Amino acid sequence: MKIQIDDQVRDATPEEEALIEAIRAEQSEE
Amino acid sequence: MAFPVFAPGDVLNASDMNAVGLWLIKTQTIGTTVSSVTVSDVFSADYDNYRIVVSVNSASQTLNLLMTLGSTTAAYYWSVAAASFAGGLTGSGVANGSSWFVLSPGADGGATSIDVYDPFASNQTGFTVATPIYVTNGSVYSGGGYLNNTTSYTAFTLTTSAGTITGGTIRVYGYRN
Repeated sequence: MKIQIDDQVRDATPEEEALIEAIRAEQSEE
Repeated sequence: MAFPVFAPGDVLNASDMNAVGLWLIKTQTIGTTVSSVTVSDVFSADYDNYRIVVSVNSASQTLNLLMTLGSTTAAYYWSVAAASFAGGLTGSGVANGSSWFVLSPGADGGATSIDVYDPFASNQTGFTVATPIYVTNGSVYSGGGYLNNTTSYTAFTLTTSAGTITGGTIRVYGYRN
């Protein structure tokens, strides 16, 4: 999973992936 | 000299420049197949309120873009009224969620503008948005909400609900106080 911070695009850390998945999980419950 | 019409060679008086209502703070180009984009160092004491114009070139699927401020992932409240292109009306919302819903780009992209109120001040932060859903059986969502804390923020992140986005721009403007 790639994330972007300003001009830098890189692979997400496990912690960042977990954060994204947590946000996505809630979205899918709507 | 009367703003906003200027002539070549006019002196830009402070009073004229201070009457300019909207200033471009930052333009961020969206990368290739990214799941989230963080735009940092855009909210400050210079402005209370902001307009964020998001234009996505393409998405890997029809998806939602979810907005968060700083590292906060709780206490987001929002609701939208959706008027479908077929004419039907619906609505949805989230109380105490982990993000705000702001845009649904499709394979051919999408665009919207978001107004954000008081993100830097130690007040609750509000937002309003009107966004078209870029599919033939889509809708226009009009809504907004707030973040129920008093944290001061300088950055925001747009995260895809699934899949990735590629290309486009995020422009952040400040409304002059």
